[in-house]
Amino acid sequence: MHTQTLALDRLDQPGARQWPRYVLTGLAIFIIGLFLLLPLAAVLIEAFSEGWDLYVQAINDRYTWEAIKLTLLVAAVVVPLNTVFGIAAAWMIARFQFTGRGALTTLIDLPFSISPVIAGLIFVLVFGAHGWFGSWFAEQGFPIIFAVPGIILATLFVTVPFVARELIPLMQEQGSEEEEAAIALGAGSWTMFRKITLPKIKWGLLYGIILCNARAMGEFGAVSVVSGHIRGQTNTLPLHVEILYNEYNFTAAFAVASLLAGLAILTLVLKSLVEWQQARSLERATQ
Amino acid sequence: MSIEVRNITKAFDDFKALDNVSLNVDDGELVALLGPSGCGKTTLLRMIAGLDFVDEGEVWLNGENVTGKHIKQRGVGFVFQHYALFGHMTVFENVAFGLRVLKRNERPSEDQIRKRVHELLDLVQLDWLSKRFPAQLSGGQRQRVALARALAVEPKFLLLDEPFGALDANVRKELRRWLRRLHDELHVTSIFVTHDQEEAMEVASRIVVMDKGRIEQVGTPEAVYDRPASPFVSSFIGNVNVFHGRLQGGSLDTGGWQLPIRPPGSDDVGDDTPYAAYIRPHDFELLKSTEEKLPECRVKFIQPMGSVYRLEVVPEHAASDGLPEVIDVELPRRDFRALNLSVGERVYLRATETHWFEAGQPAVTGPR
Repeated sequence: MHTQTLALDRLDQPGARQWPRYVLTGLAIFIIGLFLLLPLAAVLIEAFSEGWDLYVQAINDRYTWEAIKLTLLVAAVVVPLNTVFGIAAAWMIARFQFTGRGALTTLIDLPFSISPVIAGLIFVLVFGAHGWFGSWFAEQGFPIIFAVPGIILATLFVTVPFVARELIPLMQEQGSEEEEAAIALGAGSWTMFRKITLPKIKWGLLYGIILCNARAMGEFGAVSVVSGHIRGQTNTLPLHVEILYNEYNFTAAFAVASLLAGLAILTLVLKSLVEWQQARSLERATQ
Repeated sequence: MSIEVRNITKAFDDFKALDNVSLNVDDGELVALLGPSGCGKTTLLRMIAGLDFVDEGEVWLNGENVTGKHIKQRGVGFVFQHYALFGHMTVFENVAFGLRVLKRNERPSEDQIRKRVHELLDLVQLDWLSKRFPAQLSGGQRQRVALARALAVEPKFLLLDEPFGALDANVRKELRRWLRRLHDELHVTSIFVTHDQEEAMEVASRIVVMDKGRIEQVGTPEAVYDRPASPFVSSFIGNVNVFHGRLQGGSLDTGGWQLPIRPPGSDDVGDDTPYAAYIRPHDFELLKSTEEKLPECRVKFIQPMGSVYRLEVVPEHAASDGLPEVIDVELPRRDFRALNLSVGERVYLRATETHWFEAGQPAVTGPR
């Protein structure tokens, strides 16, 4: 921290050569503009290229609404499940020593290291029509692949690490003394979790949930493999964008894409807010 | 409200933290568990509290076997080393926590809780800080809040893990006296863990000295200091000079260098028996000249420490494994002034009190 400030100070000194500063700053702005701002602008410009009315019309399409609903449904199922799983896994890893603890930590990271397409194919292999359990589920009138359950499963898999990854280092750093103190004062496990653990991890947890939600709504690869792309039934927003685009319906494709872009921006704003709150509570604690 | 520990053993993987430990604490006592880090003292405290469970052995509280019981059912108040205050709650809410989590039919009314918390905060002289958060308090204040919080549930036993470990020297001294007074007032049977022998001597009515998962000695501060049961206790409690040698006539021979002392009652012990003499710095006398046959030393270093003078003296005409490189001597100010010593001077060394140990085993302690 200190060395960094020192280095910057030196660039700030009168008489110091100014050009490295301008070149580096310019380069950073150029790259951000070219790779981040320009595409975002392109999405919005294309979406509104034929005017506001057509934009609204593109979104107000029956299939688009079905895609929005499905995406919200998937997120509504996946995010709570992975929140509970994330807290439980982080708790196990941060609070207990057991054989296989290292393996569990690595396994949680697995979805990050596997290509989403492969993740989707795994589910096809297990639950597909020719898969291990697929025909049995289909016979029960509950098909998994090319149906909503498959989409939820694939999204669950891909978003497993977010909450747990966020909480494990946080809980390890905080230690268990306050929790022990609560128990020693007569609190039950649930009271301890509600009154001590949860308030201490809430910002980290929220951060993990936001990231998990963003990924759950935006996931393309794994979902694409298991979905079957049935309009109005198994089409999520990202898949819908692709279908519209492939049909040369560019305005509609970009209009729907702008919804996802809006979600991304909203996520970033929320994320910064949470980070800011986190920093503030940390500052208060170390005052 | 007595505490009894019977033959407790506890291992963490291969490491034996406690090895067949037994201990009795009587009603109203204030006992210190003293030892170097890793000696098992905190583990023992946590077992008594019910924060850890024993591998073998039993814990009895007030005549009841509580070995398998949850900490909630043991009636203990526990003060953690780093206070473990709830950072997101005010001082008031921290102290009230134990009352608020009681079952509905046992829980006092809001008015009663408020009254009780303010009483406790008055007791630790911190009522004016009740609306602050722990992060806004000093170390000593946090410690007192932690104590008030532990006392809120009216524990029958108070267990404190290194209560002053993380505090400045000055605050520590003040809090020690304060804890002592508080204990006299409340009379709760208490055990505290410390690695600081001075702290144990000052606060505790009895000291339990531990090393490597075993209890080395239990006794009053005076007893463990004056009559250490083992070489470990002797060197852990206070400073000590160690002389290894063999008995030779009326002397201890450290290999070409004689200290004219012999263990009391060792008349029938033959020559050449190996012994170790443990002598505290203040148990030496220095003489400028003598008729007796005393070992010669040279003054190497003089440090005035206020009421005492600390001297380092070096044995003359000697280089043997059994001798310390320098011998630490402490003289009362008056004696030092009377001697009027300066660095480089020759002095004669006389031991006035020695702890004797034979081959690591306790022998006899006494003058000469």
